[in-house]
Amino acid sequence: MATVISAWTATSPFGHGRAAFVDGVRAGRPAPAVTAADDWHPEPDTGHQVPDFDIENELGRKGTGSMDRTTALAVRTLGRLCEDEVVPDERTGMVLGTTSGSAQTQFAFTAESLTRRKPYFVNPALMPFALMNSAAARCASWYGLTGPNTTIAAGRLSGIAALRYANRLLRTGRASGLLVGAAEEYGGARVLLERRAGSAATLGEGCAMLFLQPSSTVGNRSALAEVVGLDTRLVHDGAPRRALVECLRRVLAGVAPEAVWGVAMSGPDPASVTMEREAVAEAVGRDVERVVEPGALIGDTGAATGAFQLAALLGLAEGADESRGRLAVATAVDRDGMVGCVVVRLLGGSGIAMQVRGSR
Amino acid sequence: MRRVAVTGLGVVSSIGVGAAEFADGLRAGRSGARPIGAFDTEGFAHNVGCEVVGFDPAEWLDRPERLPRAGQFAVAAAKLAVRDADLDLADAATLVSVGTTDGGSDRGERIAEAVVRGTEVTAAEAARVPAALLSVGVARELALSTVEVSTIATACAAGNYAIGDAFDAVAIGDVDVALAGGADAMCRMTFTGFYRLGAVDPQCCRPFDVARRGILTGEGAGMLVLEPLDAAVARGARIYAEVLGHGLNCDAGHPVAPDRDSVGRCMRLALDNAGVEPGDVDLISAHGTGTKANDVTECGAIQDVFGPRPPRTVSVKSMLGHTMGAASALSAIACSLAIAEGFVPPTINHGVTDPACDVDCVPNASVPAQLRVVQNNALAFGGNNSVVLFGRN
Repeated sequence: MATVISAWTATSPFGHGRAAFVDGVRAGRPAPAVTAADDWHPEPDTGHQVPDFDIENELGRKGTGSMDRTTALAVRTLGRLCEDEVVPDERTGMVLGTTSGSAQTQFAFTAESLTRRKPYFVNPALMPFALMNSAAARCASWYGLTGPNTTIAAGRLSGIAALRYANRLLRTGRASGLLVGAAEEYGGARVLLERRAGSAATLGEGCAMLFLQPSSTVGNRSALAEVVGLDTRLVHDGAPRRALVECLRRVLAGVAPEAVWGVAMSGPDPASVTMEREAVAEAVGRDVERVVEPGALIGDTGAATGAFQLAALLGLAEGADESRGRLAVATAVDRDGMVGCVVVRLLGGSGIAMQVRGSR
Repeated sequence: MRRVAVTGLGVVSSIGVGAAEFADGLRAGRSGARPIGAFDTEGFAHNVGCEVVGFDPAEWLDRPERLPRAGQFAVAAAKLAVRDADLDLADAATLVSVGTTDGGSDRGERIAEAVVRGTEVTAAEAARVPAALLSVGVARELALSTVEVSTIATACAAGNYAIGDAFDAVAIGDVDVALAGGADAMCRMTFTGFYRLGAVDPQCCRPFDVARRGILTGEGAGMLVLEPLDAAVARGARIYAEVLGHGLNCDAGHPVAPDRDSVGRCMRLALDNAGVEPGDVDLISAHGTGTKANDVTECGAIQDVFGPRPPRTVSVKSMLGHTMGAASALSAIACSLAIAEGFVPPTINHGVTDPACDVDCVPNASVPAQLRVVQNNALAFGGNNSVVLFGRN
């Protein structure tokens, strides 16, 4: 049974919704960046933030008073899908990736405990938002998703890890459809953690979300892409390129080089992108027609990187007739030593609005 | 679909390290409660928790400095489980799945504290925060390369989520072997949060008791080796139990309060998946946190599914405290040991059963019993429920 991607959207530094992201990726120019500082990172830092994203404006006042930005980005992004294309049933669920949840909220909670007159004079409403499952759980609550609801902490491999986990839930019949993606927020706590861990990359934020279904429940003509395969490796010898080539070769075994239409790199910096590009060239055996580097456009979006890579490929494939039936590849590398790739077949569909409603 | 066996158990807990010591602790009704030493508790009126003492990560890890404490626990438990299963993973397609609530948050909160106090934040400290390190760390320390790693962060049900996914991965043939469970380290943030909610008991954890006052925060790790039953039989492995199936759903409701109907639906999903009737279940290892709300809601849901006289329903949190992402994994190990060794772990610290939690919680002393099917419940903040069923092979 094949799994297909039948809808997607994004809330990104290019703006709110799918069209803004597609326009930005097609134009190929970096999204606007802003310089900011806060208590956690007082030195000014320039990053790509989602423009005009005020939580209360986006989601109303109820339930948002203590909400973290990661959760808000996820809820708003899911909202776009549920308002337009996806009609959840009782077994529709969600699989979201994360790095460590909302560092900003966790740090704020700790600061309250350390600086108030008593260590327990903390805002209890913050607590659920300090947990890593906050975004997925609030999404479920907001839109009534009672199916499986899982958060996978895989850092920059989150796109692949969430797809693999979601695919298994669909193959075992545990969900009728799954919203799969990740959100990552911009904030001083994350800037601090990234800079201290040695990253000099421009940080970005946002959320990208795909709707996955078994192909049997959605007509092939309307699906956007089919998940062909994915693979991961843990690098022990400090040679990520070789491990990534192994992953790519395994998933692309038997595929003609010209069948690969597009590739999206995960790298937040030129060195990583170059390594990924070389690995793809080595595994595929020729230059790929379309190459997109979301990191260069919207910054390092952490756990959301993988979902943004797939979103960028799907966006570029829209209206590109030569992509139909061919493959798109997204690679991923994390500083923890994990590398991986996911390959999808572009089906040229236009989305699922009619089919999902019709199938219920 | 292949049948799936539990053939190895690894435990790091406040009542013992390793399956044998843990089983002894469960049978004896040992308590892991002691004053918290993991972080400064000055200013709190009480500070009892279920901490793992005497754990030396250098005994277990080649590079302990790379991982947060929860990751160190996970590695130790994984190594114990693989040794217990007497299994060579070198050529096996393996899944490592570790559930967690806090991941590396114990490091994160030290970084936040350093900023608040104006002290330095080191690169090594920042590098230990990402939660993915729990499963990646296990794979690295076990020298696995072609491996699927997964750190599942569905709060306090994460251990069961990991075991459920591992069951599926083995059953449908995605992997040959799975190492699955959960791990968490004592965290000031978690203690403070539950304390602020009025949900930490000042003395001990007493699930289902009329005088219960909440959880004790705890820590540790539990990892299980899952492999195809046929393969386990063929290699003459010791089989603790068979994983019969699981169910998972989401309340899609309140951020912290469990939903009785939804919890009941999750149990039914698991029973259906396992092909088991409620009457076949001999024991429920409850989520049983010892908070007012959890125990009433969970017992209500159990009665909705099992009728007015449900199977014995125990809480190992009475002994281990709430070990967060490790909780349902340690509970799953308790289920496996209960089946294999023929006993029911007790609910300790028990005085008078709350009439609103009308279950036989096997108060204070374990009892011998031949168990056919045992159900393991896990209910997390956010309404993330997961129920796993184990059976005697």
